[in-house]
Amino acid sequence: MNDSGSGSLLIKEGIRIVFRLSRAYRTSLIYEPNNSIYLRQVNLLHSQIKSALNSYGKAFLTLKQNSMEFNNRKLKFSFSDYHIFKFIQDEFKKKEIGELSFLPGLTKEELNEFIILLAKKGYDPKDPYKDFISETKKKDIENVIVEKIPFYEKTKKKNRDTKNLFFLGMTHLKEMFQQTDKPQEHISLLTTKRLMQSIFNHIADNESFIHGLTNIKNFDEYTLNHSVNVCTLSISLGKKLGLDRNELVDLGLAAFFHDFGKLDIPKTILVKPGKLDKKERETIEKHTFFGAVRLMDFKKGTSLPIEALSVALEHHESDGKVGYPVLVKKRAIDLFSKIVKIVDVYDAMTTSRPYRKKNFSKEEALSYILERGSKEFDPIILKVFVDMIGICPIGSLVLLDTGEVGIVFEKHADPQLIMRPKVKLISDENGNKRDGDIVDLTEKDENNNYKRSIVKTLDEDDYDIRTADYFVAEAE
Amino acid sequence: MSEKLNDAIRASSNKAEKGIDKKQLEKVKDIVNQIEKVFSQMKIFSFDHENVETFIDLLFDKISQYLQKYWKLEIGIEEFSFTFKDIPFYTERKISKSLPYLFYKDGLKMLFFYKGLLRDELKQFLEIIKEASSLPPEESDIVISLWEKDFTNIQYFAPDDYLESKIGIGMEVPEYKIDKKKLFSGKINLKPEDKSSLDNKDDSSFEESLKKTFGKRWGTEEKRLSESEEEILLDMVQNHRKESEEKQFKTLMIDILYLERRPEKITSLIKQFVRYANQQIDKGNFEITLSIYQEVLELKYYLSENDASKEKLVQKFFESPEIEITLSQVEEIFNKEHFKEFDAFLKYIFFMGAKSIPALSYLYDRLEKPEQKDKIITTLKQVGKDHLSELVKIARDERPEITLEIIAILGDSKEKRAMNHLVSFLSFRNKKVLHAAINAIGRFKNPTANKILFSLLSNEDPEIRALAAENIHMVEEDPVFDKILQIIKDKKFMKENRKQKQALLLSLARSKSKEALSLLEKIIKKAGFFSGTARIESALCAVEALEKSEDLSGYTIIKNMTNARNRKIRKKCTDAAKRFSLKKEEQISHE
Repeated sequence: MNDSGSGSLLIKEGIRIVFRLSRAYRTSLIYEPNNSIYLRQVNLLHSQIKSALNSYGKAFLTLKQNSMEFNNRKLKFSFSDYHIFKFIQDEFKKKEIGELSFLPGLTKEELNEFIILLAKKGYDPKDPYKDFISETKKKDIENVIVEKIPFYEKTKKKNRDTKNLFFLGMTHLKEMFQQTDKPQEHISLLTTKRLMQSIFNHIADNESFIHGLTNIKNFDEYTLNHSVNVCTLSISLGKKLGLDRNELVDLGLAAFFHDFGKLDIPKTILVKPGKLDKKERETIEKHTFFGAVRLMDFKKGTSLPIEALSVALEHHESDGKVGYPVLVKKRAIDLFSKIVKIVDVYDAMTTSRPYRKKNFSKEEALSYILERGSKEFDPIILKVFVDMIGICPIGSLVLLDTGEVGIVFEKHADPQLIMRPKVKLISDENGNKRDGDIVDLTEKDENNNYKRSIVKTLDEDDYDIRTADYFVAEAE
Repeated sequence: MSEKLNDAIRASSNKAEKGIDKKQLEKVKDIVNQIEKVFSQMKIFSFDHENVETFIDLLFDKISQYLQKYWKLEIGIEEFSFTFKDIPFYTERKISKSLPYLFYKDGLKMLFFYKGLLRDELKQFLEIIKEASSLPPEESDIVISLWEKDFTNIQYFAPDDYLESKIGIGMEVPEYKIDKKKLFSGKINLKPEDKSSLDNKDDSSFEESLKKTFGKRWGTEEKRLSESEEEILLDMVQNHRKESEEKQFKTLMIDILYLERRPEKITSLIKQFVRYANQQIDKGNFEITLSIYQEVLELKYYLSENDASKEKLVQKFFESPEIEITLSQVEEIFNKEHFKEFDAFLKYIFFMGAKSIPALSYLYDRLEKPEQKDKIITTLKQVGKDHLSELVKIARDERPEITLEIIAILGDSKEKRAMNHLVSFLSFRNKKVLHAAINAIGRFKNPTANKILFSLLSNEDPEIRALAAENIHMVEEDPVFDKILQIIKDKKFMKENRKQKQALLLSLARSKSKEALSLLEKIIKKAGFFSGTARIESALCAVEALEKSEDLSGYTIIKNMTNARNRKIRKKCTDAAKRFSLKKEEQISHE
């Protein structure tokens, strides 16, 4: 057997296989199995696999917690390739596939059959892996060995871990808030940094679910819950903007502490029901300045990134155009501040506040942010944010054309199918509540019609439904 | 470790080892022992020491051989032990020495090394261990470092349980409670408008409802970035990466200082800022230090018009003795080249005002590149013009180069004190310096300058006398004029050297007074056919003086003397007259 190869060649080869696999897979969804366009994609994938087998003797793709490996080597996807990885990762998970090994005897025909089975929908949701394997056996596919996803990849456990981490974030921020009032105590950021790294890992691995958890609002204290939501969504947004993992941890830290200055604002103002008067507004607006001052003290002797101070000071400012505080000189605000600013507004608007009579729905909040547009936000970051949240955001309560009510649990990876997310069914067509399945709205019936479509989004308050609870329930 | 415990571990190992490949286990043990050896070496020697490198080489060979055969090396971590397939094979219970504990304390459960491992990856991994072991346990976290490195061929397993053990200790943590029964039982009764939407649904229902919400903004959402937007985004990210932490910190400090209203906080911020500026000096980051000074100064100017009491507090920044660097510090920084950019270092010194002059002088003597020297002179000119006495202090006979520059600066100065300072150079022995000082004094063209220069006419050095004479410029009501007339009228004048004669006669001619012109004419006329060399030389010098004075009356005298009896004088006058008329013609044609 040849050497597995070291360095970038092997990684490039692995990425090419993932890329080709995704192309063949997607083409199979559109064309018939004997279509020349589809067959060409299968041939290209076959050549790529053969080339890897010739070079390394082995060719196996392994799905890991946050990544994908080829011949035991972790593949690194760039910003532009990331959606390919995400697509394959999602498809593997659907069928509980943990590893695909291609053997030297693999023929084009066998690969063709395998891709068709891989792209096929409707496997038994209770054990999709078993169902899928029995199909491959029926087709005598012997040169592709399919391993089941390891136990720790199981969704339930993963969701539980993600949920625990989410609440740990709030607890940790609470203890940080308490700790900063005791200046004599040495503050270490190691735990906070570790927490951010874990949030990153969970975003990489379980993004939809953690986005779903950001529908939890006003738990314990508004600022704590809001800060964790902003931190989570900021890391996600930063990732889509092309920041690297270490930058994302810094961004997470900055977002986590963005409202640190609220500690200096009297609670009576923070929770005052009704509209704030001018003086109260001025006081509350000082939280950005107080936050920066607190973090400046806090930074001493810790690895708190400088951007945390920028974000605390600037997250209500827009390049000196509008917002507060008014700085000594007009200057461009930091990239992290631009990111956190958008997420902050979105999360604040979608959270009920004592000074507001009506809550904004997710779509209304998005619509408002779009209306403010480049006057207040960076237009490019805003565009990526809207693309990330989607017009049908995770956690939206939706009415389906079947009469069933559901909650959007996962966006579709394909931007063309943005209105066809995965939905957790919470009631049947007669309105009877139930712990329904998570259904994919791209699924079609035998007449090639969509099985379910969204009719409209529903107002959670109208139905006294907290969609966040259903995400928590998924983890219990 | 107690014998009893040892026996227990051995017994447990023996029992479990039965189920695994003993050869493989021996290899794993060997690798871990080698890691321990490298670890010991790293404690004694620096990381790049030959011994450490040799031990790393050996370790790398062992791991590579193992991975060649088994693809993956998997090591489990328990509190004081490493395990292989759940079997402890290495135990060290002394915390300060225990490698397993070093990993365990940060919640690491498994380490994986994969085939394809690079020596550099291994070395970086060992560096992480070394750093973690050198810090107190509460100040390091191996998992954070491993995560940051994101090695391709070294992976680990560290579950979030660790965080649970660290967060919320002693706190009352509220629980997010859900009532699953309520979530999944009961009924959802659709509101009439929602029911109606369902009844009237068609393929575009959802889109229509979204259009209603988004209004005009519909169509602006869900758009992917265009190519040019992708480029702008990339630039944005790259620029963010380029932005230095120091620059960001400085900008934020200025903003905070500007926004802060509490006097005690301002004072504390100023102290912090001074400390920060000093830290930057220690790092050789003069660009930042300089911009800190400049921006605090700008803020001070701004406050001087808007908030006088705050301005006083900000002024404390510049009054802090800590922000000045001494000459010896400058010497040290320069000699050790402890600066990121020399220009910024120089500008920083310049920012110290008069106090920078000795430092600039020190640097001037040591720099070799003309452009750098020029920068110092430019800086000295800027700083020195307001601090002439400080400038003069650095002039030395034995440092003619910078002394000459200082003389030039003094010569250009409009200040009266400058002349007094220039006089101090007349006692210098270096001729170049002396000459430069005389020339600089001459440029003042006033009675005081003339008086100084006149005193030099009796200098024993004929060159000095000549130069002094050359620099005397007649000005109205200057008593020096009469004195010069007397010198020229004196018989001894004829014996003076030619240069001095030329100079004195020229100063006379430049005065353009009748008395002076008449005397010059007389000197020319006195030179007859049989006159001696000294007289003829004086007459020739007088012709030259008249020509140089470029005065019409002088020209008339020269023209009249084109018929002089003495051939040399006649020729001199004829040539001078020709040149004069040629010049005149040129002037007319220009006009």
